[in-house]
Amino acid sequence: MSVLTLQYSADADRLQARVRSSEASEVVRVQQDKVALDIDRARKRVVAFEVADFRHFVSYQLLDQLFGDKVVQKIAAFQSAAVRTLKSEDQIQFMTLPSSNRRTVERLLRAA
Amino acid sequence: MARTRDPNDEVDRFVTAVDDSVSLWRRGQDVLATSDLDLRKVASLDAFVRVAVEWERFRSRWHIAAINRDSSTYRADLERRFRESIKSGKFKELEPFVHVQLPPQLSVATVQQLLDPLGRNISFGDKWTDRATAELSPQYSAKVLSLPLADLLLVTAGEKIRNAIVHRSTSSVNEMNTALVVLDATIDADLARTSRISESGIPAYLHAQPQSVRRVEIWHLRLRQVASSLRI
Repeated sequence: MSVLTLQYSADADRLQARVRSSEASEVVRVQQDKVALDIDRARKRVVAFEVADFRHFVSYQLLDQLFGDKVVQKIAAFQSAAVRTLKSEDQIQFMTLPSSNRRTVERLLRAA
Repeated sequence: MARTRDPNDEVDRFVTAVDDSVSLWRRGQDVLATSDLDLRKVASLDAFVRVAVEWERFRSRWHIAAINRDSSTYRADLERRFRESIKSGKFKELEPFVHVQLPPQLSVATVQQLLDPLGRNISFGDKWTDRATAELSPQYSAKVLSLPLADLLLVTAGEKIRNAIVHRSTSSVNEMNTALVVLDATIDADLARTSRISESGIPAYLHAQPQSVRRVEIWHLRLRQVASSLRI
């Protein structure tokens, strides 16, 4: 079971997300438009990410490829609440990553 | 091409197009009431494509009209981008000596030429709010930026459905599925997908009736509502 911790800063209009208990060795930062991903190069997995301009963020494709439907649905629900009520923190639990995850991470690392 | 264009006229035109499309779809459904269900689904698909194409046309024309009404932000952005292109090119030393002179009021034809010399609709993709910020004067960009998040997600999903219908590629269908799962659960629950939609399942999705209204009609009404919010 993995846990994704979401934190929204209304002042900066920025989402910060971190996968709990992931001790990364070498972390590579990859910027994809409004999403900045921290990727553990050795384990080939995303350990954290940030979304800028979160109030207007609609490009969920990359996060869907990385984390799957259920997770992005919950991030979107958090976004809706955060934008409306300035809710600032939430946690999402997820069991497995989608099959597209590894391919997407490898593609991002190649592009980094 | 007209020299000036009122963004509100574009809203009116789109609202009329939506009403006409719904009316046409309803009459079609009445005629097909006793027909094969597949025929009624195809009619719903056609109606969605009709309104989605109208939406893209409307959004493009509204954007151009907004620049035409007040070109100040767009002119500044154009000059900034032009200077950047010089700075990153062979003649970067000449950049401080370059003077860009644009007419204070850009005609519709000029804006269209500058945005797309081939005269196509502007392709906003997921960058509508970014382009509104960069290119529209505050009066107009505020209209786009103050749209509820639910509306921005809805507009994105509508474009992704249209792309999936037109392109039928794996990636376009994937993007549609992503966009339909992140719709606002309180406002657009009836439009959110409940299971994965294949390319061949799009007509069934659009023709489905989660409650009292079929999805295709809800799509029409929601896009009409978003457009109406852009009225100045």
